[in-house]
Amino acid sequence: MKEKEKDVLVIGGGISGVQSALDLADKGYEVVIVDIKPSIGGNMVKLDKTFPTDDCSICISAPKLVETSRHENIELLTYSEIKDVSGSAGEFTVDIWKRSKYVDPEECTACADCAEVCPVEVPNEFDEDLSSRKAIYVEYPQSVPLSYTIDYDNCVGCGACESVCDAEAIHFLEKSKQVKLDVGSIIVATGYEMMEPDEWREEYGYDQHEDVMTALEYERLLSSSGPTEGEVLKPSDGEAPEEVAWIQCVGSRCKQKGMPYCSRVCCMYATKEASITIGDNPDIDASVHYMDLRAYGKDFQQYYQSAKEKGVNYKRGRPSRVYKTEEGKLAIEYEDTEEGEVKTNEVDMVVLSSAIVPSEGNKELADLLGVEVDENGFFESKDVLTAPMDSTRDGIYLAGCSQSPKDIPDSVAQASGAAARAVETIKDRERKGKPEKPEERDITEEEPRIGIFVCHCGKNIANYLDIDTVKESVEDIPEVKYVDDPMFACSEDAQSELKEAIEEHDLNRFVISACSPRTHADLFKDTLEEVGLNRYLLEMANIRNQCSWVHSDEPEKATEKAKRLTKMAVAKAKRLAALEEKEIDVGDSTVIIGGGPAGMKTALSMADAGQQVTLIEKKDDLGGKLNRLNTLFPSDMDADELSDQLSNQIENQDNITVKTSTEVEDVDGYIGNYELTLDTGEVIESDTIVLTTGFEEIDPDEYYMYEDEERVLTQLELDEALADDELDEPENVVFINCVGAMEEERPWCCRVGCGNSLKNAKAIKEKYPDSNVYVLYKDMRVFGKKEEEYYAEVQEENGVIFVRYSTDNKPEVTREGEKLHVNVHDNLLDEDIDIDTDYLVLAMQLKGDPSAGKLQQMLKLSSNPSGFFMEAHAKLRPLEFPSEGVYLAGGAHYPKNISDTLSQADGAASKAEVPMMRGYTKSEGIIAEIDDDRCSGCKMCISVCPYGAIDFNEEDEIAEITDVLCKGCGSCASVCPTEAITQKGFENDQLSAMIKSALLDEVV
Amino acid sequence: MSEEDFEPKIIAFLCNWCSYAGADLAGVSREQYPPNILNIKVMCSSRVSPEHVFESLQEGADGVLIAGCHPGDCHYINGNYKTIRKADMIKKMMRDFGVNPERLRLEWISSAEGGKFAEVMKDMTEEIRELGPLDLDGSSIGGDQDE
Amino acid sequence: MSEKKKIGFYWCGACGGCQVSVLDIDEMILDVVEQADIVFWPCAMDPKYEDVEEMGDDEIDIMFINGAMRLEENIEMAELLREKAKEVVAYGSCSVNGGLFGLGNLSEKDELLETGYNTKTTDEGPIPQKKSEVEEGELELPDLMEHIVPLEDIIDVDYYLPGCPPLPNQLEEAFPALLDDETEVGKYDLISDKSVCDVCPMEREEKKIEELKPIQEADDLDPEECLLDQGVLCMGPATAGMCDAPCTEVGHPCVGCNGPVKDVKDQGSRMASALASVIGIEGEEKKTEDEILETMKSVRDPTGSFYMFSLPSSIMGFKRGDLDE
Repeated sequence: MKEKEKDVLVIGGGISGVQSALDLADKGYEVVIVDIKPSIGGNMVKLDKTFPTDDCSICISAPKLVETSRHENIELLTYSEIKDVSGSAGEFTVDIWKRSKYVDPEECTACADCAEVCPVEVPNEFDEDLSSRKAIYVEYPQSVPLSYTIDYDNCVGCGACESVCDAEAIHFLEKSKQVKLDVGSIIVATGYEMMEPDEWREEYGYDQHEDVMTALEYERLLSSSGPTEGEVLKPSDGEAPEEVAWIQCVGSRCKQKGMPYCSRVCCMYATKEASITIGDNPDIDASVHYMDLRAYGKDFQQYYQSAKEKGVNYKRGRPSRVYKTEEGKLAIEYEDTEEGEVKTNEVDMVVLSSAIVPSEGNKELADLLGVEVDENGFFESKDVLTAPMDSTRDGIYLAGCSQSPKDIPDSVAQASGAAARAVETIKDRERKGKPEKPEERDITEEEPRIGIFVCHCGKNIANYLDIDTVKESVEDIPEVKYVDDPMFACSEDAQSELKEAIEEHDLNRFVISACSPRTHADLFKDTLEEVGLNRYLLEMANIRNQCSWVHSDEPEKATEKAKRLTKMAVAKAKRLAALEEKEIDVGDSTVIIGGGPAGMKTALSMADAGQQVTLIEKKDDLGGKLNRLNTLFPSDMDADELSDQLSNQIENQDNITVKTSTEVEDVDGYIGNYELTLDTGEVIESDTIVLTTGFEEIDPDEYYMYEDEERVLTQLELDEALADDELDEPENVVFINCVGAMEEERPWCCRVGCGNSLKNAKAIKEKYPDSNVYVLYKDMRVFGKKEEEYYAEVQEENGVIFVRYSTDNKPEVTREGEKLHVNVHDNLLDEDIDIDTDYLVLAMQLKGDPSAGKLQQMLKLSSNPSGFFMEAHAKLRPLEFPSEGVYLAGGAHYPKNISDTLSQADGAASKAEVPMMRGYTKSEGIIAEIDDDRCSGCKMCISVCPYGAIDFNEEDEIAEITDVLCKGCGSCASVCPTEAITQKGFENDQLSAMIKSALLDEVV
Repeated sequence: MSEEDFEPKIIAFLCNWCSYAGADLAGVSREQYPPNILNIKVMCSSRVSPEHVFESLQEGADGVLIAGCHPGDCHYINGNYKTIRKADMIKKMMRDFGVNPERLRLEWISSAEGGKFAEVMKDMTEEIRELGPLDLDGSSIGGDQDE
Repeated sequence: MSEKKKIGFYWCGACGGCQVSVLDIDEMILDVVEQADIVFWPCAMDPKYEDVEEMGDDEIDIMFINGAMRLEENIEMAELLREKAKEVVAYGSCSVNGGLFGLGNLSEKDELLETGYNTKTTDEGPIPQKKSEVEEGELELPDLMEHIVPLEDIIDVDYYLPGCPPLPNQLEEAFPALLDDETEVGKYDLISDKSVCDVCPMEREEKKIEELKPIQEADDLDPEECLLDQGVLCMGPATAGMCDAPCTEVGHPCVGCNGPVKDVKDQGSRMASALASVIGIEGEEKKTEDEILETMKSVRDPTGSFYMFSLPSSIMGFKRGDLDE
């Protein structure tokens, strides 16, 4: 049995597991990802687009997956399962059962010849069974690892695949094997499943009607690589539907008929699916049946709003059943709660937003790991509020939907947080440093001597075009000194041949005319490096994916094109230069700006991992909102208790210097070299910066008599009054949610107001049981773990009265003697309610802290109109900024509850620690370079750089690029009016040579 | 040259992250399209300058394609917005130079849109075929003075 | 002291400014004539074609040719003078890049003649023909070329000295360098590798231009601030800066007369690329494609503006007949 020693085991290779693994591996820890499926990627890669940015899901996740598979510190064990776990934190031993794929991933070229001849068709799980696949298959075209798997259960053993596999990658005798693994910590990222809506919600007819489908099935319909290539077609007859309707909360938010919790993402994905549907098919009518539209996240409400404007119809009320009419329509019967009428909505397709449920194997895995699952089957946190990523056992941590349903950015943030937590048990271990490379040959003075491989790729290229002709067409180019045509350029043999050729013929550049550089360039580049050639001296011509495979009926023309493509590559290769990936040192000091819970937790997380932290707070004490809050939603923990906990830990942590009553006046520099000038005059240096500046309530003066009436309180004022016991016993208390929110001026949702009202309503009810507490709300947006349950409890146990009002009919408040009179139209009961209240509590809209504006300018970041910072990527990089070195967490990103805030704090700590623990950061080789002699200081390039990598040197009046911040897009090279900027590897001369060689009959 | 004999030559600038990947996926999915396009990979569509388009036309291309990530999806955050504006500018200039601006196409093709890539290739090849060859020397309004 | 050089000046299709510019150097002309004899200067000395034809090959040391290759005669003379001169300097923007007349390349020859001789703003009259019968017999006039090309496309050129016209400060540097055998001057060395921005005194911001407006409509221009930053098209960024920015200094935008900076082929493409990249950049992610294209409408006549002085030397060079209009 194999025994491996690694640092961390990540169970589950979805986006959360991958993120945790990358964070740890980037820091130098050795990570193993185990996934039960043949490839990693989880559920995210199945999605068509992602809300609220409509990013193409596979497009944004694929680069991350490829990075994972190529990472020197990550080993993938796919098609594998955990069989046993023993030991304890710091020294777990794990038995893993690695099922045989019967295909050697090293030899498989993913040419698909095998699948073509395989006689067995089975339902394709990746397409939610809406299409079929063969018994030998890859899950999806961009699968990582990209190699085929024989599905043993369905294979008939005919051997057809083996006989066509030129790469001889298929080995029927390969056995499954047990792998023994020693690790220090374990991250559970097993994701989620969608509830099959047959058992719990049979009234929706999922089993009876083909055109009733789950949202994930529908997602595959929308996907351009799905079964209908993105066309919305009814599965029953392949026709386009006239109407499509979504039913929300299928199996969620209902203890009796499913799960008590809210699945957190369905409102938004249904909104996304509906809005994409009508966007692409203006003739389709889309409607969404919902209860509360939970558009709680950053830009979600605006996304929802725009879906409504595009024409998505929202109908409030939980449908009771779906049946087929005589005309063959699907009728959704529902009570329109806004109009108090039972109606039917006749449509052609019904999409069920079915509940996100725990992965099937969670309980079994939890038993093996010795951790708890909660009553619903999700992994239990040590403390939902304060330690969401800690399982109930030391050394085992939780990421993403294994712990509770969540959207992608929350999952990714938590995954980074879990990575930070996982370091706790292994922090004393030695980490892997920079990989050693052989010494590089200096070729600057050498004339180009080019070698070429024209690859057969078995039959994949050779069958469709004439390899010899392609070879001959480049043999006589003067700079070409060596040409060969290996069967598989990517094989081990070919790598040896490549190395020998370079040495024997003194080659200094190599052209591989084969498949796609996106999948294979790194392999060849590594080989070049092994013989001392710079990795950028490689050029590929894509004569498979972009030639033989797509022109298979026209061999002559394909040959002609392959010749051209190869010549173009040679033309570029002639002009390739060795490029340097520039490095700068990153030390262990960080400055965290903002001393609320996010800042405090980030500081602790980083200090515990050994970083030197300076925590800056503008107020005179740490704690931020915790100092004003009474209790915390949804666990009713005392805010003081958390504040004290964090403060005590900070006091006892030698690595943290706290500077209160301090603000940052100026920031200079970049990652590894920041210089912050404080308003105290002090100047501090730091390697990274984390922004945790938080949020604040908007000015309440103009709302609901706040300015004139002492009994009108903001939510935070109520919290303070409750904490200090300053309320007079009330008869009635009214909460108004969404004050100043979700209106034209401030269209966003504050994310935390509903929860806050709930926990304060409950607190008042518990303290003054005889009082009547009313919560006036628009949509009740409680979505996190234990939150929906809390809402149910406040309704059922505490007897708080909920009144739903609409934006165009807001409550009115007048003074009535001693009391305040509230008149509100309940749009569910369709009647006016009048309440004389003692206290009126306003859940105010929230905005970013004003200090963010100044920091934004100093650090060249951007923020949205609500005053929250704009992260690098809404989905996958929520805690980073486009330029490396600055990170964010908590309310600076968007308001969020304590659980999410603390997850993000650990996550931001992890992100900041990546370059700090590695000790350096490095640039791409293909970065832009400015020629000082040509730069005339016009400042065109500066605003064009999306990474703030270009600065203006006031002294010399020229622009300067900070190499490590440049990502090599080349925008600036295209902008520069004097051609002072070149993008290395994509220089004008190189592109021009390719253009000419494509069109002329010579290689220029 | 009769229209049937005419095989358009098209240069395509594809961004690495979306459109080049979309072209790869077209291959994986064995989508078939005419072999008239020669691809040049750039990291971002915003790298493509007017010179690259003009040079292609001048050297004998009958059409030029610039393809990038969908707006909002740019791997480099906002590079493709520059591409929109540049392409617009180039088209205007092409018109002034008496070259049909339809010979330049800007397309958004994501890495998941192999089918779309093939469609664009087919469509564009046909469209250029209809426009006919762009023989810049022959079609010049004046004789070439070098002779 | 070495033997005096023999130099000559000739104007082709030109406005005459380049001829006058030689005198703009004031008393420095005395230094020039100390080092060189001006042996050929039609503007001042009225020689005949025969006189040139009679010259020996390479008789002139340095021939400064200005003006555009507009007429057959210009081509003939350029070729003739090439034979007679050891070195040829393309003098002024017309001979270097085609110059202002190069904009004629956006029209057909017939259109040009029509506009020139037969529109409302000009006298209606006969359009000159290559050959026409007059009382005295047949008159032959040099024909208009179909389009203008840079001098380099007609004859080998040894040095480029752009400018419309070249300014005294350029000439103060160029004349001594060219006349002195000891000083090595590369073909493009008299073109700056920096743009007008390098010498422009205006204060510049990171470029985030909302939209362009014609200078006539731009009120309240801040005289200290970069014109582009204020939304006025200025060719400074893409124009070689040998001139010390006399135009922008008095609040007039650069029109690009020097052509592109050294080693840059296509001035108009450079400006187009730069401007398109930054115009409407603020909040671009929030805009729809249509909104973006709307902003672009504020860039009026990009080809005419960006290539005002360098169309013939650009990649495309002149208008083609690909459009059925």
